[in-house]
Amino acid sequence: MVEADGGATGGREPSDQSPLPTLDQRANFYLRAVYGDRDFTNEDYTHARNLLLQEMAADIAGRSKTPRSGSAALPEDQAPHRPIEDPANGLSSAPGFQPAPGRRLRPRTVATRIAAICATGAIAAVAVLLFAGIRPTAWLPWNTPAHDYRAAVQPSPPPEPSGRAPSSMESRIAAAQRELDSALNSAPLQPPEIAALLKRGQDLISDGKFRLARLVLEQAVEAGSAPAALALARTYDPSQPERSKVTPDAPPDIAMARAWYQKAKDLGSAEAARRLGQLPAPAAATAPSRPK
Amino acid sequence: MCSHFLRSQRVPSSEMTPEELLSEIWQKFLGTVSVDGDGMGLASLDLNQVTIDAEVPERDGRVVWLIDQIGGFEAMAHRREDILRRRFGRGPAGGGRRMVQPQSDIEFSEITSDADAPSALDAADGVRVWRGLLATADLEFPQNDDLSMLLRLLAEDPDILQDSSGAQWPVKEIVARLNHRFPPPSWTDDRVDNAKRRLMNWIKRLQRKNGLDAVELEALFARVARQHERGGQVSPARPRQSEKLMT
Repeated sequence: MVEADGGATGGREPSDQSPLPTLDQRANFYLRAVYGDRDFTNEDYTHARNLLLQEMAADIAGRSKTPRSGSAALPEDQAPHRPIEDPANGLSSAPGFQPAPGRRLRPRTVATRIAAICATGAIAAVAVLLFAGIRPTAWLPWNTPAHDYRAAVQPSPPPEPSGRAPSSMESRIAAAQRELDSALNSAPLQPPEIAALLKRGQDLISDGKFRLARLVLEQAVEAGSAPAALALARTYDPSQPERSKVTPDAPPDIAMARAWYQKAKDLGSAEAARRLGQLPAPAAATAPSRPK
Repeated sequence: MCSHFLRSQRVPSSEMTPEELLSEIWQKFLGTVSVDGDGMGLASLDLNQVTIDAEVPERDGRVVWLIDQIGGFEAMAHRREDILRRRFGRGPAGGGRRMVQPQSDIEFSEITSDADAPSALDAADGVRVWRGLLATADLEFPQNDDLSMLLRLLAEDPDILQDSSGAQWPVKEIVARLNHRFPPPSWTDDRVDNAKRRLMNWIKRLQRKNGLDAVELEALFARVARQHERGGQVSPARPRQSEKLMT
C-alpha cells in the first residue's frame, strides 16, 4: 500500500523547496507585466485572478485524459450540500472535501506568506523592467555585438530543472538572446501601422474598452502620432462625449487628460491646444507622472 | 518582442495587438499548475547564477531567462494560434478558418468574484468541483489507486458524507460501498483511513504547491470541469483575454 502522506510514488516533497507565488502574487505579476507599473483596482485584480484560474484549469484539462465515465456521469442533483466547516483551513479540514454550493468567491487579501522566491522576484523585476520603465528605444546600443549578449549568463549556468544537457540549455539561451536582439533591432512603426493602431484604439474606445485602447494608442503616440495622443487624452477627459456613449472600463482623470493633451499639442494638434484651455485648472498635487 | 513578432508575421494591428499576445503569453506562463511530482509549476531562476544589468536588458540574465522560459518566437506563434482558435475555432487542415457562432450563454457561465453576485458558486458548480477534482486526480493517480477509487465513490455518492461531521467519516458505510462497487471485497477500515489521509494530504499539497487557498482551489476544480464539459476545447464564445480583463 502506498504511504499515506505520499502521492502515487509515495514520495515527499523536498523540504527546501521554495513556495510558489500565490494566486494574488501571480495576478500582480500579470497585471504589471501586461499593463505596466500602475495602480490597479480590486476589479482588475479580480479579473486577473479569474484569467489565471481559467488558464490553470486549461492547463489541467489539457494534460488530463478523457474524463472517466463515472465522474462525467455525476448527476447535477447529487451536489454535495454541506458547507466547508472550517473556512480557515477550507478543503484540508473538510471530510471528503465537500465543496460549498452558493459560496461566494471573494477577492482574497494578499497572502501573508511572502517568502519571496527567486522566480517571483525575477518575474516581477523583469516585468517591471520590460513593461514599465524601459522602452526598447531606451535600451540602447544597437552596436552591441551579438556575442556579448552571452555575458548575460555567467559561465556556470545552473542545472536545468528538466535535466536536459547543458549544451541544450546553452543553445536555448543563445536562441533567446538572438530573439531579444532581433526584437530590439526591429524597425520603427510605419505610417500604415500607426494608422491601424489608431483605428484599433478608436474601435476599442467605441466598445468602452478604454484601458486596452490606451495601451494601443500609446504605441502610436510613441511613433509620433498626434491624433493618437488626442484620442488617448479623450479617454481621460471627463467632458468628452465618448464617455457618455458607452460604459467606460476606466475612470476619467483630468490630470492625465491634461498631460496627454499637452503631448498631442506638442505633436502638432490644434484641437489638443483648444481642449487644454477648456480643462479645469490643475490641482497642485495632481501632477501626473506620465506620459514619459 | 510581441510587436516584433506580429510585424514579422505581417499580422495587422486590427487583427491582433501586441498587448493581446502579451496577455496570452503571461497567462500561459503564470497559469501553470503543479499537480504531480514535478516539483514546481513555475520554473525558478537562481539569481546567483546570472548577471543582472537593469540598464541593458540584453545583458540581463533575468530577461534572457524569461524569454527562454516563455519559449521565444515559437511559443508566440502558439499563443497567437490560441487566440485565433478562441475567436474563430479550430481551422481545418489546409483550409481557412471557418467562423464559429457563439454557443449558448448557459454553456459557460463565468465564476465571478463579485462580492455583490448573489451566488458565484452555485450548486451546479458544487458538482463541477467534484468533477474537476476527479479530473485532476487522474493526472497523478491511476484509476486502480485506493485514493482514486475512494474519490470516485465520494464524487458519485456524495450523500455518503451528508451525515458525517468534522473529521469523522462513516468508514463502515464507505467500506461496504467500496466493496460492493469494486469486487472482490478487499476494503477494510484501515485501507479507507489510509486512502482518506492520502486524499487530504494530496489536496493540501495541491494548495501548497500552487499557492492556492481553499476557495481558489474550488474555483480551479470547477473550471477544470467546465473545460471537460466543453470537450477540452476553448469555447469561441469566450471573450478575448485582453478584452475580458478590460471589461
